[in-house]
Amino acid sequence: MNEMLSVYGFGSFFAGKAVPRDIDLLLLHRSTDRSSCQFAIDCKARIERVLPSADIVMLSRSEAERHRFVSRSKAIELGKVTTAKLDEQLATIISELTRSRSLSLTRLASHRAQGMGMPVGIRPDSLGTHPTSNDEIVFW
Amino acid sequence: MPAYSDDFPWPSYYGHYDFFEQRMRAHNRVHDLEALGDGRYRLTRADGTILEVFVCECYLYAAAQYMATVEAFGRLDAIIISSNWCGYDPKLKLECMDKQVGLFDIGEFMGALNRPDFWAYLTDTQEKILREMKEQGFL
Repeated sequence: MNEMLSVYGFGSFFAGKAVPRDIDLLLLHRSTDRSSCQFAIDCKARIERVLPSADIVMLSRSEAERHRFVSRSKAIELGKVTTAKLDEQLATIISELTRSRSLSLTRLASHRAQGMGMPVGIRPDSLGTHPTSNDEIVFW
Repeated sequence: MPAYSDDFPWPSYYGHYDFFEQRMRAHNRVHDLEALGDGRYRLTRADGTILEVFVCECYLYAAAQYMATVEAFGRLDAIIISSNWCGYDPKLKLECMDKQVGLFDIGEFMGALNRPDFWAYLTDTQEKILREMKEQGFL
């Protein structure tokens, strides 16, 4: 069966917090039947291998609606993944995540080196004395 | 949160659940608690029955997560969601009850341990909601 799910981001990493704890992702899959759940499990495992700091929740559409998870967590849709193009679509989403993370860190370091003001999207409270991978990350 | 591990793909504080262990060891219906690693415990009740328990943290523990847990560890008697900011899907809880598997938070599990049919334990609020859902034809 050709399955499809949506990948969402939520939590401090996507909310522009100064020191995000980890990357919270939601895999919103079709239903609670075995095929749909297994597809979500497979996607979760693949993402975790590439993004070790990802904390991934798997919910069917009805489960998510029952808990109003997307609206309550202010989750942002990052993309869709299908059985047919699983690797390609996951790679695109993960690449965008890591690219955005690198860009933000590069911009932050560049502005610091040039003695410039804060770059757009970088919060003042993120400018600690020791830039780390936990510095401000801006997405979408 | 710890780094991802292929062997333990659930977020936890390194697989140690000190609060859970403290609460279990203080429970007068618990004779012994053996940590098996990766969030798994073998709990021996005062009546001698042994429960295979899995403790994890998950924002919202639902059907796919349950399937992944069973795939990883096989049959479990109880799954405990350990954390105030985490929870589980109530529909999954009812489905687990049908399989005589308990799905609880730590406080609920404390109450459940007082019953032989621990998996069927519901708080007063849960019983009320369940009754209302049945009356309204949702179940």
